[in-house]
Amino acid sequence: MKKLILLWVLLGTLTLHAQTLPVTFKNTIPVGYDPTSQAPGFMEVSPNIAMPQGHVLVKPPTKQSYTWVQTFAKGGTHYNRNELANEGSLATFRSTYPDKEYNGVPTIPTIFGLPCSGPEEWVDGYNKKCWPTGPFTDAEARAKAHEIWNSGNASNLWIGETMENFPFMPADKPMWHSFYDELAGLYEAKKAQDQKPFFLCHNYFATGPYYLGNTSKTQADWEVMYSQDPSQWQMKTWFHPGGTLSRTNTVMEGIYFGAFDLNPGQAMNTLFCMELWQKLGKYTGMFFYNHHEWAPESFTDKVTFPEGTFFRADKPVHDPAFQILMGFLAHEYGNIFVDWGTFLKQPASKKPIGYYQPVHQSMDYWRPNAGGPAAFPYYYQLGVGLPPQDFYSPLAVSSDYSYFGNLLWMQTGGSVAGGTPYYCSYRLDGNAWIDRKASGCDIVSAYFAKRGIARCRISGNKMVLYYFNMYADNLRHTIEIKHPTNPAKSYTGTVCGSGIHVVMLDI
Amino acid sequence: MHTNINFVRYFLTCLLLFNISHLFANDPKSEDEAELDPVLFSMSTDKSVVKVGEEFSIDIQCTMRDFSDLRLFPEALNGDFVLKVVFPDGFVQTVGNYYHSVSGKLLRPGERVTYERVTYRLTGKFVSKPSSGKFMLLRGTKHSAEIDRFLYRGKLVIAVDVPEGADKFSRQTATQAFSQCLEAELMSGANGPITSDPNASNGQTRGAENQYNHFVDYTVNVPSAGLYQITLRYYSSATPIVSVTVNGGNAQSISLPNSGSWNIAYTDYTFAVSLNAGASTLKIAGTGGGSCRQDKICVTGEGQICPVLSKVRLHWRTADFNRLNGAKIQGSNDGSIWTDIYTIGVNATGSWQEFTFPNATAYQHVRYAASPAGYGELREIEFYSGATKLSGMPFGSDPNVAAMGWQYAIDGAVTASWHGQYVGIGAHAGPSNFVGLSITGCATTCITPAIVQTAGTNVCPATNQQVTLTASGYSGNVSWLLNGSAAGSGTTLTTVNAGTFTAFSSNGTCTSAQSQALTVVQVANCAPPALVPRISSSGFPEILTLSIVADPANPGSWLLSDIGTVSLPAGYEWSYFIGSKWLKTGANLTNEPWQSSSPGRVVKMATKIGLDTLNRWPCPPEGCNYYYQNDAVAQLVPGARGGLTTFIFN
Repeated sequence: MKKLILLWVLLGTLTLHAQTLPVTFKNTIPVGYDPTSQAPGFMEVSPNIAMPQGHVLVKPPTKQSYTWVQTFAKGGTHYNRNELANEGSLATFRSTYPDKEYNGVPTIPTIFGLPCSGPEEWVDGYNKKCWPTGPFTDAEARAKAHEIWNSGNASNLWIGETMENFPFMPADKPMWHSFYDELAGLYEAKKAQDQKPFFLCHNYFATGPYYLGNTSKTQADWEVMYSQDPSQWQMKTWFHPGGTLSRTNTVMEGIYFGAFDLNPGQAMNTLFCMELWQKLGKYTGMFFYNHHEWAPESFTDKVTFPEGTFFRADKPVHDPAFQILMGFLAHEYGNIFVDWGTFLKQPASKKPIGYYQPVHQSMDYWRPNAGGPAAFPYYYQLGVGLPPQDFYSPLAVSSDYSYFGNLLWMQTGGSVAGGTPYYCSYRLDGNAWIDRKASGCDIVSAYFAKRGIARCRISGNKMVLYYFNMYADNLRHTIEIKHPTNPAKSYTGTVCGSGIHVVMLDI
Repeated sequence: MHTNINFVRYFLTCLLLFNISHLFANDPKSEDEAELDPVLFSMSTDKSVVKVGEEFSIDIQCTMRDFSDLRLFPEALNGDFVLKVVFPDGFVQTVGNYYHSVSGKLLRPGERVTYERVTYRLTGKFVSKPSSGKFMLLRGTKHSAEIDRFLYRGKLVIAVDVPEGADKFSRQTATQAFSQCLEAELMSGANGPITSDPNASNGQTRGAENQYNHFVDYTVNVPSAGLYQITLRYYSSATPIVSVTVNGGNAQSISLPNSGSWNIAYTDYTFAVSLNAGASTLKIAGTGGGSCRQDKICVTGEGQICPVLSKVRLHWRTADFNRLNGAKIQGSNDGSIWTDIYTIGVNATGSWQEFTFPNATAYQHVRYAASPAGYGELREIEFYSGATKLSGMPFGSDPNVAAMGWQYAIDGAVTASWHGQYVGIGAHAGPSNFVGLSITGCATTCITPAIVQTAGTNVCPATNQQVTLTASGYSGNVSWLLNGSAAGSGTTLTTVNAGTFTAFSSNGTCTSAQSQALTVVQVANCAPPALVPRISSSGFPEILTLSIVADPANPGSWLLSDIGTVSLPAGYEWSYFIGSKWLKTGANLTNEPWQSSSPGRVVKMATKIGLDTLNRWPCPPEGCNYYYQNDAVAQLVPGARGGLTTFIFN
């Protein structure tokens, strides 16, 4: 009876103090940004800002005027050593910005100094052209780790390109464990002295068995993983303890998406994998290509000039809302974002445009204005021995948006980076509540229900609250989101579309 | 109702967990106290004595006990757990399947699948000798991540060996130094509750979990005046900010590292204070951030005496001689409050001048502050204690005339002079122009920065109108606060936000007091400009030309239409991807609702009628199948099989 009375009193208290607070989600585009210039422009509209410690942003200098120091002032934490341009030598960069070097996805021959000069001959999964005597022995692999370390090329952000093309050496070969075991030991010894984090990643995309679209698995098969220790997972990976890649500490998810209709599921699967890598004790993040890899490859991009209009057929750019969303989520579901494949140092004048005859002769179209030249007048011929020069790409502005996602996170989630994340219960338009999952498997549930995710991160009296729905329509909906640990409090606002909706709150 | 009941269950669970935690916390010796816990936790190691740098392993064994009769607290304690091992100082993990908050679930025999035992291995080494080699094992439940509460499940102490010589030196040094520890809960001057903790020194702390503004007055008694190190042991679940004063003065504001848990896992933080011989009241008071449960302080040091400043030599530039008259020589022991030592009462001569003055007080920092009419003007200045020229870390004020920074006044040469900025934003004559030294071997406090506005007038977030604030005259690294919350770091801060800004400096061993406040004002009528659609990228206009117009029926909404002219091939339909929506239609897109001002994309393709997915590749030579279909998407014009437009609103 006493319990019933207590229950009644508590329910009454809850009713009396229930509180729904209106929130306005933050605009995701910085004030003053104008893409109609058709030139990259993220630095001009973003404040000087820094990533919180432990988070990584590799953002290339997309505009001719952008410098190393400006890149770091806008939140960049690491810089691709292959993209130093004419600002200075690698030695200068290293002395000016110690521990901010990113190795820029070297291939296997670059990492190990393999000549790859013999004939192509595939044996046991590898090519004797690069591996004439087969995989390294344990001693050889460990010696290679020291050789690389002593060369100074083991940067604090190491991401390899090791799982494709002719230099391929299967990741299950024991040599990888020997190599990374030795290399990780060297990194760890350095970290013990300078306390600077390192990120050691085998390949820029991960291969694993965790694919939510696998028709031989059920939703329950994936959800149970959230209640298990990784050692209990039915399907193990090379990253599990004892695996050949277990001594690497970072697993990157490559964002190389294909057909438009598959993208929502692919994106959700990415977040699912990132959660699993973290459960496995790894750092994780996104290796982000700002265009679709295939969808198919025949959309044109328009560039306007006083003399006429230029078109180039290329891979389709992503939805800006998706780019911003992923730039934000990279730091909520991981701690690393690498912008890859973006053209560097582009002139604001939009000319010249690089032209490589074997590739572009069938991809470019020029429509002159009245009185304009019959042929495009601002080509810069590539591959014909001319001295290097900065040139423009018609895809120029696309990577601004993924940066804006990172910026948005630095301005919101970054201030509670060390806080505790929670999924939140929510409902749309007064319909049934979608309760958060006790095991934290909300991503799996949302994937199968094709619905959105409400999540937050709390540190002290601050909370970043956000909602996204990869499958959304483009209509307004009223959302109510429950505070995850204070059921008496909820938040309400308007959501629309598949982008990120985020707000910072004092709680 | 269902969710309300869930809440009640959750709330009661929290209460029960809280009570259990305190039940055990009051008896730290009963490590097998968890008789209600169905999981038995233990730690073992392969080496009980290690050297610094020697790797060793600890196994954490979790075993399901036979609790078939258990009926109590099934929600609070079951086979679900998360683990947290609190490492001692100087320990780093190198390998092992243990990681912070590793979770597990053990099931009882008879349940569907049984996992009765699991072992986690933690391998690592000490990189320096710890004050204690104690590893504490904490157990949480599935709720622990939310409520930040763990249960103590035992400890394992590793003895860390060091070379004999080093140990002897350490002991010798310790016996020579002054040392005094004081328990927070035993101090009479305090306003927080006394709370228990199994790992607290003396078993108790002072302060509460959810209230930061508690203080403790420690009565310290040192044999001689000088600088002493104060090591505060505390618990926090968010970064606390505390004020430290000695006898009500010499205030320091310190942002303490978060210990990571409101109980059990403590952190030690050391800072310096200047104490007079005899008794002093050292007040440590929470002023913001997370609450700080104070456990104890230890006062150590040898009462190091700073040299006494008694003379300056200076060399003025060749003009404005009257601006020297009225300049002051000042000293400070906290880098914040400056005491006049001497006021210069003569004009400059343009050559070396020497001023000797009586002074009996030692200071960590000394400086020259310009007269009310002065902008610096020094070519060089030297500080002396008797005949000994003092050395140290120089500091000075900004902004200055370009290429005439304060560094020229203390660079050892008279070839160039310092001149504060005299026109423009941030220009100022008077004592806000200063240059000085933090004395080597003496200064243990950081110097409080001075902040000025150096660019912009006022701000407007909606239009990105900014001001730039600049800190100067500090030592260490600068952190900025806006209305008391972190706002950035670095010498300058560019911001669009209005409010009260302050700054402080720190270098890992000291934290300065907060600077004077500077108010940044928002412009009147700060409002974002009306949003208009802007095309970010597009392609051949004959395929897709997107029209975006305001929806008259829904303010803030837009209507999307396609006025492309290309014809639809027979056997195909238009596939529009509008955001994530896939719309198939036989006609051009018309007045499609886009009910926000979020960025977006419209893709248009001619797809085979009824096509179920775009994931169709051109057929390979061996033929077509499900994934290969040559005619899935039509070629609309040479060079393009579709149209694509991205847009934003700004």
